[in-house]
Amino acid sequence: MYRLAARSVRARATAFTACGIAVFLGATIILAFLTLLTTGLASGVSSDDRSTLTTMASVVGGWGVVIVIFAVVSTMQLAVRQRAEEFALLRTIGTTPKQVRRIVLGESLLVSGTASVLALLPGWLLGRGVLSLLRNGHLVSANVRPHTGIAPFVITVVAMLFAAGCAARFAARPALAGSATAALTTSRVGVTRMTRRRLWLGIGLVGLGANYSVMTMTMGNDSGDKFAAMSMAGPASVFWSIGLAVFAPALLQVAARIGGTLIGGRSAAGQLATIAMRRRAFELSGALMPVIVLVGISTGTLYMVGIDAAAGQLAAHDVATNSVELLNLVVVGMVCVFAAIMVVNTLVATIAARRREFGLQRLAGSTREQVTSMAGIEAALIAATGIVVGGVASLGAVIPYTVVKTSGFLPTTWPWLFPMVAVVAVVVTVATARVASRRAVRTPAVQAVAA
Amino acid sequence: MSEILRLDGVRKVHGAGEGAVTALDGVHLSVAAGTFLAVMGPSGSGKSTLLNCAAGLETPTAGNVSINGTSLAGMDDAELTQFRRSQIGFVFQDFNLLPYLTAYQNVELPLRLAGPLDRASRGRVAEALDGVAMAHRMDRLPAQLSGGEQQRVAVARAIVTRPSVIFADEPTGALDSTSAARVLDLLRGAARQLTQTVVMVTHDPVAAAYADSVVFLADGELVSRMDAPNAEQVARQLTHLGELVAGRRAGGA
Repeated sequence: MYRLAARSVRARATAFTACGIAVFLGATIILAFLTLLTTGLASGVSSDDRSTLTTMASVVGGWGVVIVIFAVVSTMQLAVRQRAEEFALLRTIGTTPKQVRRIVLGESLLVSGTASVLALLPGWLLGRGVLSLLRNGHLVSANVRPHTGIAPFVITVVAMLFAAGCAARFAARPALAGSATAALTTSRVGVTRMTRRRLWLGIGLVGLGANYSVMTMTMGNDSGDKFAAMSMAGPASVFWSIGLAVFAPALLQVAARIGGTLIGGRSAAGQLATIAMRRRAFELSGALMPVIVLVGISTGTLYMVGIDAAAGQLAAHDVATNSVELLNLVVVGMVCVFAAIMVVNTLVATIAARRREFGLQRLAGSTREQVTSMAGIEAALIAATGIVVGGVASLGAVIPYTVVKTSGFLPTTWPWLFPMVAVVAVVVTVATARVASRRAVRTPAVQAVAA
Repeated sequence: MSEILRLDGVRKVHGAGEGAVTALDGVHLSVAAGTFLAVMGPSGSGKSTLLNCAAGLETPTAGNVSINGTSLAGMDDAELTQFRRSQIGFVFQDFNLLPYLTAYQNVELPLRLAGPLDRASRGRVAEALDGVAMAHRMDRLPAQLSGGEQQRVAVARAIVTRPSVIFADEPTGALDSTSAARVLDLLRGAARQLTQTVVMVTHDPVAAAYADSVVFLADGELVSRMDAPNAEQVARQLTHLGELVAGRRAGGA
């Protein structure tokens, strides 16, 4: 079975590469924060330093972990779902559901294991980097030495294996439900409705986000802990974003309908893009989810940094405040960059899997240009949806944080931030789609369809 | 009758150097408008390559293909695609319908890609679907249709632009005999009633017998031709060719 899994991974290299990249970068970030944690908990560290390090690790590291797990789960889902037909076919020739499950699990462990082990060295280095930033900023005393031990390495790898394994098992469910032939038909027609389970997952995550929003409002200002508001608004933006991202297929169907009335009549590419999006909302929503998360989290967390920066400037111009700002920016920026890479990553995997479909279109008379502009229009619609939904998600953190820290409802600092995030989202999404689809149509149509 | 398709010394070599395989070795062919022509040959004789080259899906290594007096040589990819869209219909063995478009949308696609749809083109889509008796299931997705139904939709898609030539590559290869007969009737009907030129590759003598004439391909060359064929004669000729090729290969080795 494991040999079959290895062959299968090779055949779907792009989707698994996407998942591998998510695991690799995610493991790097997780290990870096775990390093801060173990350093803080080591003996001989002063209690002030200990509290700074553990707060840092749990506040930012905590929601970093959530985003990383989300990225690993969604890319793994993509890799498995793309092969629903393959699994259904395996079942029609006599593979038992249990055997299919073992193949899927084998693949996910192979990919996540390799990627997380490769991430150990960079993660260790990143942890030391952040620590030296803390030392240089005089946030911890100069004599704090990195202390890692074996535990963070083990925890990182195990967490990644666990996340990927669970994701793979869940993703394989539709291909294993019902009879083998029914699964085959479903895999070809595609899923068109969100499952009840998914619906409740989304509602639960949004509820969690709302809960953190309320907590930010009620408890953000109480204690003497200056991280209190951030430690609740941070998760608020994360859970709002991920929660709304769970609804991506339904959101995309709505967006396709709106897009269809706006641009549908203009060109064949536009019509094809909107029709395809409505019917393939599930396949394409894999690309929308990271855009929502990127916009939601970047907008939410960067505004917190901005509001703090403004407050700090009013209070005092001391060195400590400046370095806190810088550090916040670096740490939050790290997570945002991770989210942006995930957008590229997922989109490339989504488009690479459509090589055959593009070939079919070209055999039916589409020029290469019509195919790539269709992909571009799709990407623009995905970006627009992501900006709107991500913007809404960020409000779950931005409004409570502003209320607690200032006298208004919406931040007055950094008015250019949201437009900038939006522009970044559009540019990243559309440029990636153009490049990836141009690569995908390079193969002669006859070969692309035969493959 | 006027000539609609012409192949002059078409050669196609796959790969290069030691591993190069000559799939077509100087094929000359002229097809008159309104003919239903079958191309037959043992497997590996270059039938599909011939069809792909004639339809502009593959570029010949040497020689020239012209359709309706226009040479395909020297066209870039976009020009060739636009030419294919207006002048050529293609029916594939595996149907090759777009999975997320309904039967109606699949048939409409070539017209839609060519420009905005008008009333006349909508009428043509309805007519084409009616012609293949698929109007009642036009809102289904390909995966919800049987193989025979999918192939009928594919025939409608090939006919809808009223192309100069329809190429069909083993159109019945994946179908049961009843569905196959229906698809072949449609292709023959297109040639008879719509004076549509049809060129079909097949390995099935029964399918070939639907055609007005059959040409035989062996080792990349056209070796014989038969008019008003019947299945028995075709089968005999095919067996003979098979032996001939086997003998030639044994002698050459």
